Amino acid sequence: MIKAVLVDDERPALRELEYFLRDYPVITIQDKFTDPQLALEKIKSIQPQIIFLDINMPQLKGIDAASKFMDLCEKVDIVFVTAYDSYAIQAFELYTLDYLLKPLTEDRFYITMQRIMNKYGTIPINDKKNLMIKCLGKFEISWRGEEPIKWRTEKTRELFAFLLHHRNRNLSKEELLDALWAEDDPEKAIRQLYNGIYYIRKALEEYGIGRNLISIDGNYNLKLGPVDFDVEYYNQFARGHDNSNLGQLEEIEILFQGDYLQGEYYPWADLERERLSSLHLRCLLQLAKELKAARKWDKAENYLVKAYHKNPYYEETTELLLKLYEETGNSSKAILHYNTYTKLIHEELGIQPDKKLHELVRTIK
Amino acid sequence: MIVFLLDVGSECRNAMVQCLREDIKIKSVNVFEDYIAFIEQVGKILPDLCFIRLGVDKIPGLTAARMVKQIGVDSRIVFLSEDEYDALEAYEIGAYGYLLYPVVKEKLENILAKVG
Repeated sequence: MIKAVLVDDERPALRELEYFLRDYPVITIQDKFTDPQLALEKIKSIQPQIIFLDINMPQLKGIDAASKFMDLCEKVDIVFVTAYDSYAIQAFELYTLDYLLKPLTEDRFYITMQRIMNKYGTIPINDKKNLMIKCLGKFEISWRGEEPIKWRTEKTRELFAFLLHHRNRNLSKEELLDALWAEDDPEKAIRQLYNGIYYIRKALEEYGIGRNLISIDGNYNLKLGPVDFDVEYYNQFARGHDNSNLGQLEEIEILFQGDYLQGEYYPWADLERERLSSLHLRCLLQLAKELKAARKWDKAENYLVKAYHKNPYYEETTELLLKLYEETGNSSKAILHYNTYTKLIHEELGIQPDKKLHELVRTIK
Repeated sequence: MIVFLLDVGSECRNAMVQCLREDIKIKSVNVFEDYIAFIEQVGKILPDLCFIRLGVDKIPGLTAARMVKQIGVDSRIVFLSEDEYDALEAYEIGAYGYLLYPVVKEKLENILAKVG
């Protein structure tokens, strides 16, 4: 909790401040004063961390009051709230935390509150929500259930995707320029890179994403905090963590809404696209095996059919399907599938199925 | 303390640099005239304090300051200007100080003492 005191000679102004602070439960209003002299008398016993202070008050000018408050409470931060812009330089000389012009606006007040919360190490409001980073299918970053972040240009979007793709790695300026602006004039390219980084950070900030969730340092190293990132779930799967847990496998599988960065023509993403697609296939087969072991035949068949449609040439899928049909006594389906598979690989690849598949079908017949 | 100064050449700037170099807390003073080169070095060297000039055509001072903030380094920003015109925006950006040119030595020393 951050203790605050409000000082303004006009009651409606105090009420307005209270109204704005209502959205920030981390702030507790300890007291409010219309008379700055009275506030000075009481302030030492209250010891607030923040004072929201008007400047133009008949009893005592806010600039003078601020110095006195700072003498009485050594660590207090002052936020001036005033209708006058002419005291800003003086306010800087007092090292006040912020200077707000009346009438207050929500956006500007939000900046002040972020500054306060950063200083006091409290959790920014939006951190309580889940930040979703979706690369499997349409590339989107959004707070759960909200509209996704909007990028200034397609190039800004690609630059962010590229940094995300190489997360936790220092990148050189040259690597970035070669990957994203190879065709451009070098001088122009470098300016586009710096502007791109600027617009990314601006977009993240405006969307309310703190640096604890996504940060980009001076070496273009993008780091992620606690976010829901679909690709990371697949990486965990690749590491073999708890891959026999059916519920978890189903959750991972459903995250695959399409290929990596689907619909984006990013040549640098091709290898990762292949890797993740192959992991998805492995996930489907693993799921089918677990379901088969649990004797959930229909669901197992559905996943195998899905795997077959994803990559019909993959022999293990057909083998698992044939074994499943064998165990469920469904010989007609087994023969139909085998014939379709044989025809496909003969026509497309000019080869015949492996002997063990042939033997398997013979035993099913 | 490492200090960066983004400003065009002038007598005021020379006086600033001299004041900064006289301060024993300051390990180095790097002067830039190109804001892109400035931003690039901010990300690498992580200065403690950045003085940024406002009100000259060659330097988009407010944009440069926003970029410093966006980089996420803890560098404090102090604007240098001949007028008060941008003081409110300086607050919005989260500047640490705003000094009027020609800089009063005592005011500069106050800032250096606070940061140091």
